[in-house]
Amino acid sequence: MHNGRSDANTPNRAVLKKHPGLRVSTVFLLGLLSLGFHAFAAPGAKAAGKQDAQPAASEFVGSETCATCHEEVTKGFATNPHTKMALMHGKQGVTCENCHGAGKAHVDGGGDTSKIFNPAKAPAKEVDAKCLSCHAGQHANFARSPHAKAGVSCVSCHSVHHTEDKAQLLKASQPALCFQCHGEVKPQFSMPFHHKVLEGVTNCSDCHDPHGSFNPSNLKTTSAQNAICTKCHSETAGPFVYEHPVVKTEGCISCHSPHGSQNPRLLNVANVNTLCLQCHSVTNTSAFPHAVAPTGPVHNQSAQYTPCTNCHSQIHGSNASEVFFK
Amino acid sequence: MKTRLFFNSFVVRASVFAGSLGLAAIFAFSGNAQEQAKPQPAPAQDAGSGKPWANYDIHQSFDLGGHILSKDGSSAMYDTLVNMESGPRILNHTLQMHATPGSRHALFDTLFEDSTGYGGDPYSFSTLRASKGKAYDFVGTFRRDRQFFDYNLSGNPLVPGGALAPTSNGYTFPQVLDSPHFFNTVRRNTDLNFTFLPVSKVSFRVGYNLNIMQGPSQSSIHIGADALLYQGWRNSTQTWLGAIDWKPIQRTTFTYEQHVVQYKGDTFWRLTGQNMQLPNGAPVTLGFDTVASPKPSGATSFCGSQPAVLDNSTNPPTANPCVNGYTAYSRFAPTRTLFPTEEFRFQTSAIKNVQMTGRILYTDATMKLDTYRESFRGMESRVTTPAPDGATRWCTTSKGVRLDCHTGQVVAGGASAKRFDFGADYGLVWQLSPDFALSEQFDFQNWHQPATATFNTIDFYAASMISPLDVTTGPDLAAVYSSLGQKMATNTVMGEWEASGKVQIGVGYRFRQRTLAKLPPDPEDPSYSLTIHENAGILDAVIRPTRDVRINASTEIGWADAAYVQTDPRQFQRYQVRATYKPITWATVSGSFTDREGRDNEFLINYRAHHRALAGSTTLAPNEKFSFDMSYGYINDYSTVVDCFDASVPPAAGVTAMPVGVACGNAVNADGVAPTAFYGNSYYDAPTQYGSAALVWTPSKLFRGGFGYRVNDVYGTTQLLNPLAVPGTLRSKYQTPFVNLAYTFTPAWTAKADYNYYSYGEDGPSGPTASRNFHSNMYTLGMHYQF
Repeated sequence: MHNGRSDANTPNRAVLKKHPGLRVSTVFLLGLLSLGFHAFAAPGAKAAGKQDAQPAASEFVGSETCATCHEEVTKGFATNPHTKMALMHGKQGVTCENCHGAGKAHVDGGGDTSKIFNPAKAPAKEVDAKCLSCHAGQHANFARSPHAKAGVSCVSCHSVHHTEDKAQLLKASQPALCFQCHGEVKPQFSMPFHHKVLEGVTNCSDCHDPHGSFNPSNLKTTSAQNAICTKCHSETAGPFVYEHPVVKTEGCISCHSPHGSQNPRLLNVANVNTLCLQCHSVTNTSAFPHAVAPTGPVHNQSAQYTPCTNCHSQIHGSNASEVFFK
Repeated sequence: MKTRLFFNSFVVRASVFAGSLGLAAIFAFSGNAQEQAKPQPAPAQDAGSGKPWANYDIHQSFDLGGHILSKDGSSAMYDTLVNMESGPRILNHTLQMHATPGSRHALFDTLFEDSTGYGGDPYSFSTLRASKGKAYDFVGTFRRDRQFFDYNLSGNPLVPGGALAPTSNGYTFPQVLDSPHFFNTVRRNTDLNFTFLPVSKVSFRVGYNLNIMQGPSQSSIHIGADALLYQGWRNSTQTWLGAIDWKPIQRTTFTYEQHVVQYKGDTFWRLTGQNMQLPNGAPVTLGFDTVASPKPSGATSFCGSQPAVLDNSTNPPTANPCVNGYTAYSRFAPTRTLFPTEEFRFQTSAIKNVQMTGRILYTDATMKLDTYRESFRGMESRVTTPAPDGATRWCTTSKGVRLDCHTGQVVAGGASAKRFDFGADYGLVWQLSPDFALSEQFDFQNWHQPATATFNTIDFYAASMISPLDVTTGPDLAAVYSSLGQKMATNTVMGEWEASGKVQIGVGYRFRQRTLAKLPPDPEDPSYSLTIHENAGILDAVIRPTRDVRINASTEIGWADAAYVQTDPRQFQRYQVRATYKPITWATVSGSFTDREGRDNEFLINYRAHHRALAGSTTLAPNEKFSFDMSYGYINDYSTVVDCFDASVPPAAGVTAMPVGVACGNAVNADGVAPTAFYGNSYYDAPTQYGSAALVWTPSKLFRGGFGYRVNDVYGTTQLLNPLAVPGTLRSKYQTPFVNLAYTFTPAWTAKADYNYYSYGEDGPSGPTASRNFHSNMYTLGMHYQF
């Protein structure tokens, strides 16, 4: 029911009538298809994925040989998730040399460090390429991520052999690891009102994907394409009959500072009325024709100083009240 | 008329799934499988020593102990910021099980469990990981978080005290000492993820997440007066995931994921805070925010001209049944929302020098509120609706026109809403040469939410809250339709040039077009759409003058040709610099600076905002016996924008009267009359300093000691419209020094002692409510046992 108005005149149809979404997806799939044929269709083409020449089998010496000198590393390797590499290729997979490269030259050279790949000393891009040769499927956005562009390689945060957090092979646990570079965020988590990252309830990776994402600031989204905030604060996800539009169009950060704030409820300013009046003021109707200013006697700021949300309590959206009273 | 949907949900879902299968099939049949050189067999690994049992090496540890707390000052603020209490605790437990070399097990080869904070702490977490060779990996987490919030300035109407206290017939209306919107809820989040055949060409993932939020809290409602409501939080979200990952060739993965999210909202509301009685003994509240002495009932009302409190000598006081108040209120709105989402992803670096990834997603969500029920009994005497006889006006007792007032309402009905959300993203990095790479990212999202609601309302009218019903009107059927939608396309292209082994520079450009459209539920309000175009230039630099020094810098400067709301910047800038210096292996010095600026220079908007953060830290760990770290941070959050409001008494500073005849809502200044409509500046400035230092000393393997100090200090200013408002936490200092000691008696037993001091103080008056300052000493004693 829509009160007699014709659907043909609704702004949604006016905006969406050319079905750009379908067009986008069709072009996207066709582009992918053509790129795939280009990559794979040529007969006698070089095998896909063969970026560098693979060493011959005789170049590998096996992990037992590595253990003769690097006992402190191999001793605890059984508990490392990378032991699964041994189970690949019909249980013929290697472990050490899968990452460090074939070891014969290194062994024959008496431990010549120039003959073996050392992630601790290699350039960031080489390290990333090595790790992503297996993990690219899980971290497909890393190459475009701010971390990659800043030269923060996989071994900046991860260590296969010397880890504090064995779950993700991190050099240090969150959030201490993240604070090593993002020191300007740490004070926000010590403000009176904050997401409990320092207490361990929330991790940086609950909201951000350090390996990159399609969203700004490496933010994640929920499974339902809503803001990541709604994964925990699910009562704000809606959809509602009466939306507070900015919640959906501008995002939660139009009112909240998610890391931490001096203000209750992580608000951007100290006073609720000041926050609301920032937008609900009709000061320039030509620039903001849709601005709505409060009407009615109770909005006299000195007759009744009640905070706006005492009446407009369902401020994230309501199914029963256009003014979010209930 | 049935709304024609932009997306036929079944067609789109089928297209996504079929397209993904087809595309994957094309790659599979056209790609060349890569032959890898045959490696040597893997050796047996040494699993390490532990307590052997059933062919497992087992390590386990317990930390048992408890807290001893002493505190003074505001318990409410302590519970809001810290909320740790005395009592025994399971401080920590860990269990590790690893299969001994050569052994075979049915369920798992490796199991790891870690639990912290059980027994009474506000936060508890558990992690469980298990895996069995190439069969499966499992990760499960459980987190419990008690959220207590009673910052008493939040939602507080600031009822004055002393000589300004509102009174009626000798009764003084109480000040509000706690937050009217306090919380004491618990969130429990369980996350389970299985991956089957993780190292195979085809692997499968299933996941489940359960998020429950429940507990008591308070809210409020406005019907005449403003009443306090008990809000019983109860909502839950379940998320199911099923996914297939297919690696047809090396360096290429196709993924199909099916997500289903189900939300259940069962929060309910009922009246609380009835601190008076009616003449017939029924409990009643006249509202919790009586900030000025209430007016008496009208001379021609059922009660005659009587004060709001008829008799202050009874217990509880007797209220006037002809003034605004509540005798009962309840609201139930059981809501069910389902969000099924299909996602197809691909990633490939099989093409030489190219890394590509992309995805398409489609969500078709449905919200149903089938049985909304709301009931109000009390008095709303400001209604001036003409009575059915057309000659009289109802319920204006304060103006003494008519006797009958709005004394009850029952609302029942339902609502439903849909959310259609289509997303597509594509990213590419093309290494054009060893020194130059091009990256491109395109993002598209199109969502819209049509919604309908239908409610039946029955209204009751009577002469007073204790009078028999005079008139009943309704049921009045009200149906609404609304819609909100947004379409956004963003394209970012970057060129990265490795100028030398020490310098890398990136230059890029971002364009975004966003169109939003709204169909308001009130047919009197016009529908509208707005298109915003954003352009931004991006510049990045990575400088490594030596192996020990790294400097990252980035900046983004952009502008938009429109803004939806006054606090959306039309000009925006972001600057960021990070530096790390490692002069020797055991010392690290780092610093960072971030500046986000936003502007809108439109006339009578003048929006200015920035977030500036400067931080530095030093870590020294010269040997196993000593380590020290220190950090400092300065953050300044600032914003100002012109606002306008109605105020019969203008605030003290920062306001100017609006020109005569220029409206702000219904606030308009008339010529020759004292102004009541004002421009303000929404000024907010919060400069914050943070410091921390910690030292750990381990003179021997038997003893470890550490102490440190953290402080967060802010002195801010803001526009205060209420003359009784105080800065509160905006001018405060929060200090937390700590000491911890550990002594190892034997390799299995270690005694631990922690001391934490929490001190919170505000620089300024507490306002017309209780003080929020507190100090507390928390002693934690524990014994660690491992085997």
